[in-house]
Amino acid sequence: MTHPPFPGWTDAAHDSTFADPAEIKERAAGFTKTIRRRNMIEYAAGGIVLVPAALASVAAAWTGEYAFALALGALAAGIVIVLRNLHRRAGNLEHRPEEPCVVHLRHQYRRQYEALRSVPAWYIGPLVPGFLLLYGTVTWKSAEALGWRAALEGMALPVLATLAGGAFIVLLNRWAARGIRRKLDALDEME
Amino acid sequence: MEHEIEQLYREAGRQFAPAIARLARTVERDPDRARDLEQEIHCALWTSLSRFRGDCALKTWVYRVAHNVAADHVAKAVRGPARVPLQEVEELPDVANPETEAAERLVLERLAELVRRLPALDAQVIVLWLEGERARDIADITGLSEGAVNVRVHRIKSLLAGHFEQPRTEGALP
Repeated sequence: MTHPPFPGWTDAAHDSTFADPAEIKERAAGFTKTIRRRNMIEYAAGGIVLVPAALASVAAAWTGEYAFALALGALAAGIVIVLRNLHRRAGNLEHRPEEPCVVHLRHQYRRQYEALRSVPAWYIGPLVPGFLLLYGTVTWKSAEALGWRAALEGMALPVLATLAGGAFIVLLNRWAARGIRRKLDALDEME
Repeated sequence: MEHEIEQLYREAGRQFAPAIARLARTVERDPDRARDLEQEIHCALWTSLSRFRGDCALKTWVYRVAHNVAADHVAKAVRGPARVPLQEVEELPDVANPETEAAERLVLERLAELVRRLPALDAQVIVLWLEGERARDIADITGLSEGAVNVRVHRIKSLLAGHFEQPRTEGALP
């Protein structure tokens, strides 16, 4: 260490100490519990969507509505895949704060960038077959009762709303990914 | 193993606890949040020390962990001032307390405010410089080149020069 440029800066907090190791060990254990609890909440939230879809699929199969059963089953499977992807992405996060700051920052940005950019593949994609089958089945069943024109007209709004919702999520994430890309480029220029 | 970790942790505490407290208080203006961040750094340091093999100095390790945890903490914050790179800063920002009398204290408050408004790496270089670290050590901690560190230190010195009544020369300025 050389002489600090401003003694007033290094005079501040000069009596600070580290927390006691026993307390820190407890906090570290508490942190693990918090992560576990957060994961449980995420799974519970996923379950709120997954369980009705799965139950509806079983109920549809029970009543002989096999097309609905297949569609709802595909939707439930899509939800399972999305939850698994979420879990994998969180699980793969290697936390190494001892890296040089620029390396750490680049890792963080790259991870965020990849996650945001690939949202269509790991978040939207798995749900597409379920939605296609569900909307297709509803349209087909409606057409049997009302005719194709009325069925298609009736489905136009929900399909468009779903497409718009999906497109909005993709665009929002692409926009955020571009922001992260700019930060990554700025990091490269810094060195 | 745990005994070694505890020894390293205590040694790190003896040497760097005040610097980590200052870092937390610079990053977080709110005292309670600053205390939380300080504890978060202690916790991250404790966990990381199981991986310490002496490939770098303990000081480098401690500062890297502290600054990376602080940067992650800032990145998680929903609100905060827009970050402006150091090279684009024209003058030190005003602080909430304009009645601060002592010139150096005022400059330090404005420096702390500046750090809160800088991107992570610029802020890390300035805080380490304020701690009295040499350019070579700052480069080792941050991973930037010594040249990139010197550019930033020179910039902050230029900004500071305008805030003393009598402008100091490069040598006289700390």
